[in-house]
Amino acid sequence: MRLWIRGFASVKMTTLPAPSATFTRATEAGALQQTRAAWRVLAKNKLLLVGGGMVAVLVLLAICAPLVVSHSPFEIGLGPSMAPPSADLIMGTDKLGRDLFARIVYGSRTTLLVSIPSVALAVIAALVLGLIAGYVGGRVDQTIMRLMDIFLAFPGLLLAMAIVAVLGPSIPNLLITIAVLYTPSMSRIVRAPVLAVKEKEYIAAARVTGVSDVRIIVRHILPNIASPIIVDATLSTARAILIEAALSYLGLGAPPPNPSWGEMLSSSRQFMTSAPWSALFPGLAIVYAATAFILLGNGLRDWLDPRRR
Amino acid sequence: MSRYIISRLVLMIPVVLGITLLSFVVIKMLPGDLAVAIVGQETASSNPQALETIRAELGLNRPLHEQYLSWLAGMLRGDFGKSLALKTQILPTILSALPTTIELALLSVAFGLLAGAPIGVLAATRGGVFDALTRLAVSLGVGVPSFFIATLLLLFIAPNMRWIPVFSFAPLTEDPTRNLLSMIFPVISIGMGLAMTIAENVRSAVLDVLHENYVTVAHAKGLSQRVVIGRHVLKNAAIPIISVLGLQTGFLLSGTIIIETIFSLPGLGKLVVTGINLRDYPLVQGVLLFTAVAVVSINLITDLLYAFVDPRIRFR
Amino acid sequence: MNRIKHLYMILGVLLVSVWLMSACAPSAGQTGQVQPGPTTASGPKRGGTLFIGQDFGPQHFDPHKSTAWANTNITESIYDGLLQWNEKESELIPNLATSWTLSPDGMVYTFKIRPGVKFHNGRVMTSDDVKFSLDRMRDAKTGSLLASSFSLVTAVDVVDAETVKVTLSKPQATFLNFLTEVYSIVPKEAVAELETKPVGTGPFMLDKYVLNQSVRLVRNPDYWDKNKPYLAAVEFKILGDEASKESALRSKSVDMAWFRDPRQADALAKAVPGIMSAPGIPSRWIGIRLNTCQKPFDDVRVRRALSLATDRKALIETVIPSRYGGAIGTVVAPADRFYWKGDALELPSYKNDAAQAKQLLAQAGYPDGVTIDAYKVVAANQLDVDGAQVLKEQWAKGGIKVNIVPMEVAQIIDDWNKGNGKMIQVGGVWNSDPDGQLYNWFHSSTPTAKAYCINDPELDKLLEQGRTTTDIKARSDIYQNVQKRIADQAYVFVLYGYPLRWEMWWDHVKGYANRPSNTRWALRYAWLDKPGP
Repeated sequence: MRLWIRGFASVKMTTLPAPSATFTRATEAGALQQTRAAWRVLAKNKLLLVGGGMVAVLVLLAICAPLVVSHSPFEIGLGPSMAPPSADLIMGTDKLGRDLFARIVYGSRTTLLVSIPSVALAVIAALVLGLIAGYVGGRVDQTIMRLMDIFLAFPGLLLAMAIVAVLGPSIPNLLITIAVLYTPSMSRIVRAPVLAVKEKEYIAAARVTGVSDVRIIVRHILPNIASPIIVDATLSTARAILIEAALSYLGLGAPPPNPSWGEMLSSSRQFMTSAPWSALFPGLAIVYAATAFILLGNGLRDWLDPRRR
Repeated sequence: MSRYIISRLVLMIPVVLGITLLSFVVIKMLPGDLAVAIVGQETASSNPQALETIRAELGLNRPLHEQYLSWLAGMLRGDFGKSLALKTQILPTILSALPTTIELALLSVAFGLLAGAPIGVLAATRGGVFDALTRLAVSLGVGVPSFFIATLLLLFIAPNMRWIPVFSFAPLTEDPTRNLLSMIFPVISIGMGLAMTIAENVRSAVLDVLHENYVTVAHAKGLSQRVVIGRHVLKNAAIPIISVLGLQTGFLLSGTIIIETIFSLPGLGKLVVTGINLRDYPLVQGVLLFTAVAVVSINLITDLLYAFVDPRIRFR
Repeated sequence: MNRIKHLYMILGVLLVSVWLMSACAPSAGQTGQVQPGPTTASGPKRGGTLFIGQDFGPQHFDPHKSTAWANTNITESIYDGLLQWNEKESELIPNLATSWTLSPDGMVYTFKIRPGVKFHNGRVMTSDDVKFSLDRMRDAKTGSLLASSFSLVTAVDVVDAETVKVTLSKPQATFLNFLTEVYSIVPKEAVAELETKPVGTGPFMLDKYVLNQSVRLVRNPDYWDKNKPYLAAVEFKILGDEASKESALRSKSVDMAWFRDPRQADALAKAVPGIMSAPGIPSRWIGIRLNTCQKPFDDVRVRRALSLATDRKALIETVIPSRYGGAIGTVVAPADRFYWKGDALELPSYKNDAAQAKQLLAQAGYPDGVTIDAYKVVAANQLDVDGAQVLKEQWAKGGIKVNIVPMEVAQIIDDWNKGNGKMIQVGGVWNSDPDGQLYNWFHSSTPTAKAYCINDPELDKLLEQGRTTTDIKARSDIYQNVQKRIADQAYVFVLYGYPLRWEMWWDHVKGYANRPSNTRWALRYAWLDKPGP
């Protein structure tokens, strides 16, 4: 019985039994053979290729932003306000006459700088909490997981709004906020396989023979939870992009004049009938980035999950 | 089984209490207070005395723990209290907003199921290009923010489809036709992502089941593909769908906050936004308490349904 | 298979119970059908419902307990004050008071009350109600926001059923301004429930308020001005943001709405024939408060340098072009009768001169320029944030670097009042007289002036004169000097004024006009030139 729920829902697992055997197989069998097989699958895995390609383009764009654009994203009055796309300003201008294309390209930096580190932070926090809860068990487990339940039952966007409002909108604070938001769901994902692996006979044997807890965790447990964590982290990056967009849409994102897609979308929404391009381009940028990570995540899952081959 | 339910119910208590405390802390952490909303942004900067008058009158100057405990005491007596800003009783206010949100959520779920499940089944059984295209569409569908879909619908589709009313919502009991028509755009905005999530889950569930022995046996017995899918596959695929739906409750509630605001539907999402804008903590806590209990109970119900559909699952 | 059937049953039960719940949900008020009055052969047509798109709904309906526009733009149609402004809002004219006299010493006002005016509950208004209402507003126990306006009132006396006498402790030039609109006359027997069941004497009565959906007002058949109002009902629809309002106006779901950004309004008016666009009146201004207690703004040279580094003309042309009502700002709103009479760019330090700004900074001991870590602006006001980004670029050329910090409005107002921060930007609005605002901010006796270490005897003297002088011409001269003094000292750095609200309506709405104070007072004169529903 496979109960590994896909898609967005996967993070909100409550009392589902652990995806026990599924993820243990890969590491226990012959490693070399596995790697070869994996590469073969990679070549056949179109989702992974498309998603990986899209992410790579995004990252390259962010790194090489100055080479791609011909105007500064901060220069006011390059053209008239809300000018339509032209040969020089290929996506037109924003309200202050800035180059929209330059702002969208530079906006990818804001997006990636917020979403990737925030998810990394959430993964670390979730590993600590989930491992403690799952491995120690008992009261500690109950306390941690009930605490996570509280955060999970609370509307995420609202929580994010409150944290950003208190800390003040800046890129590091956004990062912390999104990390706080994703820690509870990720720690659930960490905990479930830990519980399952802990019950295995060889773990009990290792314990009896006096192997230290740290060693057990590093050698036996971590490898077993790596796949779901990697997949969820990738999908969470997509969600972090959407949350960042929603927050800057609400004026709580990276402070101006930093270019941010959500802010660009919200500030041109009111001009959508007279200047539809001004809202469409940032909107499409958000969709592109989020979709890239979702494709990559789904592709990774197919690749890492032996059942999907 | 009943012991399991009771223990789950008991465990709900600290969670729900925690949520009320968290919502109190969150709303108090948000900078600013009701006084500015009452005086008005433009005049508040020149009238600091008025701000103090209001804070004193509404008890916003009392110590924080006192404000929380007195709210909690009322709550334990079953008294949701009075809204600080709107001066109305909170429970009836919530109850009058509730049907709109439940209707929106149920219709979105229905849309998600009707659109998502067939796509999932087709993707799993047809495979090939169709499968690849679906998976691409699914990723795209999940990646589009609901507020972007809503904006596109509102500005490009709504002006060409005048028969779909926007911004003139009527309750189901007063004008069912208008009510249902005005739900079309909001339901599409929320339901799109949901449909894609469901399609993805159905697809993988069907794929899993297709490889099970009994399905192979059924095929071997000469049953047609249609019968196999209808009788054996879908039944087993129901389990993950139920969990997805249960797990999506929280997501749905977040979704209604944005969508109700954009389409101006007088539901719980809009109510909580109003409460937050006004920094009306009893109102916000009332709504959040309500939704938290709903989320936790729905999770419980899905778990029970789950066991109901598949008796192999044992409660721990 | 059986289990699946059970599942459907459960779902069915759930659906039915939801439907039942919605059927039993309490619905506020009753939908009263109002008979429209007879249609006159020529002139305004009677009847019909005017729909107005709003971004927020009202909190409650007690006019003495809120000054937020979301409330007042509705309560002003339900209640009346003793006086009202004329159409240009330059002069006070009778409303519930038919005439008034002032004693020679300028301390006793006597008002004649309009006879036979009925409250919405049917009772005739008397001078007792006027006394009750004025006392309610000035009584600290009421918690009214309007109390400070009546700080000089020592007594309100009923002379007879139609005469009321108000005694002041010293002459107050602005007293009569405080008897209009929101300073409403309310009946004693209804005040306990005024917040949810408003009773006034105004042209419209509350019919139904559905939270987050709509406020419906119906015609008051007993309104004292016999022929008015023409409309059978006014319904305010609560729509949310600017894009929703535009969408609703375009599709004629509403007949009228207002917009924050004049460029959006302008684009809409150009794109859709038949939508009237009221040229906005620049009633709002944007100002930055510089903290004169702290370095570097304790030095007037730094403050002047900031002013000189600002290219106000370019700023306005980028953010809110003058054809949309943008105007150079002073501490008095451009719509105010006391606004600077000449070319505002001639005010001290108003002309852009980056070189001189750098020179002043060097003289003040900052040869390398200054850096301000937090320039606080209201995140929710898109136009304010736009302006801040332009200023950041301009100031950088004058050697002043700033970091923009967008903040939540309530917090920024607290910071502004307490002097918490070096540069705090808020918006101010025309409010019938500059005295209250300016005195509160700059007179050395007030908490706000103290919070910013402002102690300027020359300014104090001007503000005191402005408060007690009753002659309009003399007051105008005083406030010219106030504006000049504040520009020279640059305590508050006012950038530009612009229309706070840009009202738009379909051309079938007649008789409506925009007012300088942005009130919807003219609803009582509006009528619909289309077949009524």
